[in-house]
Amino acid sequence: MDCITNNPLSDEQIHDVIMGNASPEIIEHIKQCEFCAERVHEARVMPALARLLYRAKCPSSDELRNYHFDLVDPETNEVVNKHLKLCRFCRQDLQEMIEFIEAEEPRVELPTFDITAPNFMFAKPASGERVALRGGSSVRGVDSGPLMFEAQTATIFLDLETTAKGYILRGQVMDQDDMELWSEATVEIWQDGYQIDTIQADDMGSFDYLLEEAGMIDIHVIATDKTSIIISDIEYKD
Amino acid sequence: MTIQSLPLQDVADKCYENTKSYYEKKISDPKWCFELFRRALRLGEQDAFTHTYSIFKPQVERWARTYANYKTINPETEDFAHDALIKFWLNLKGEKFDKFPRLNALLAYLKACVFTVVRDHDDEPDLIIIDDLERIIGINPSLDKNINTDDLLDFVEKALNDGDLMTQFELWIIYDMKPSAIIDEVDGGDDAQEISRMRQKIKRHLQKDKNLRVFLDDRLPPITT
Repeated sequence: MDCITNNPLSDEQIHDVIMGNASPEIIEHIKQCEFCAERVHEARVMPALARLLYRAKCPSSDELRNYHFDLVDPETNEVVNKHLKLCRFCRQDLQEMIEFIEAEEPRVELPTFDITAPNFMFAKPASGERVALRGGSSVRGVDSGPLMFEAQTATIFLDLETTAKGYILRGQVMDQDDMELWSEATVEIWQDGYQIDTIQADDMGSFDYLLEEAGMIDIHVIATDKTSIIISDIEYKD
Repeated sequence: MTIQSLPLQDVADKCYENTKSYYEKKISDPKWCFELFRRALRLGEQDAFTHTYSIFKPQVERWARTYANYKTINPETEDFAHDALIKFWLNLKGEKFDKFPRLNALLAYLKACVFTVVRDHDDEPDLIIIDDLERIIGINPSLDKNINTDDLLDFVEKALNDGDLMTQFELWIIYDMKPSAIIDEVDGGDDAQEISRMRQKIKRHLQKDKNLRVFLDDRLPPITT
């Protein structure tokens, strides 16, 4: 296959096409000429891959931090260790984090001690004792029923249903003082200190989330006014 | 009476006084704040966390402001201190607290949480590298959301169909390693001539692969507009 005009585009013209600087005549030529269109494609494959795969294998900044503080499991530790040997971007990130931690602290005057409650609360099991959330199926009739947690005036209900795909966690946050507060709240799902997903509750403060394997999660529910509740160490299993 | 059995308010008052002394360069005793953190993190006591939050949030905010690009990342819209303290609590609650036997180690971790929270809002380091590539291929970051990198790597792996070439591809494209760096830093790395030969081969395979072409053409902006 050759150029339809026997006058194929020069490398410089192909570069102009990729940079979006080509003249209408050249663009028209590419539309007509398979040979030159192919050369344009070939010229942009490697830069496109480099852009799209940029840092594709890098650990998250949270993983890198926890690696540095020896908070990751041995398997992750080995993966990050090997990665760091190859990845100058992560080595640089890690170095910058260490420099940030070690930077001299400005000695400043501490504000007057004024207890300001954080705008987040820990939820405690309403029964006082922490139990695992057990999956059941309404079809099999073995649903163990919801767990209830309390955080000041808010009540959180969590239930688990086992399906072929995994576990569906169903939750609802209600507040006796302000029924609207948890409407369309943001629900962050955390595992082992990492945020693994974010979903949004509906207008009733209800949410569903699919969990693939039995395990333990933390849930951080953030209301529209930024008040938030952490329900920690929720163990779920069959 | 041991420090563990003292009322929370006494521990919190002492923690505040000692933190104040530390900043005034006077003698300070870290055991009070450590005990406050222990109650908040190890025992999960809400009131203890309220005290640590009150005492350390101003410090956490100051740390965030020392981040190099702080002013360029729209700090008014984000509560970095809040996010860092949540991250800190969720990572060190329960038994993980035991890995931090001293206050300075706990505060170093808290400071690292501040760094990662602020850093995750700072695109500047990435943009320096990406800008050049974006100019070349005319795509913008929003396009990334439509591309699953695992899928893309699968296409590449199938196109190359060779473990050594795939390794070389990763060193070249993902890790952005120059041949000299591969020779110096990778165990069993090939010589420069072999690396160059493999890179040419990778380029040929990927440029000609029809499946990869369809994958990229579906996602990159059309060339002829």
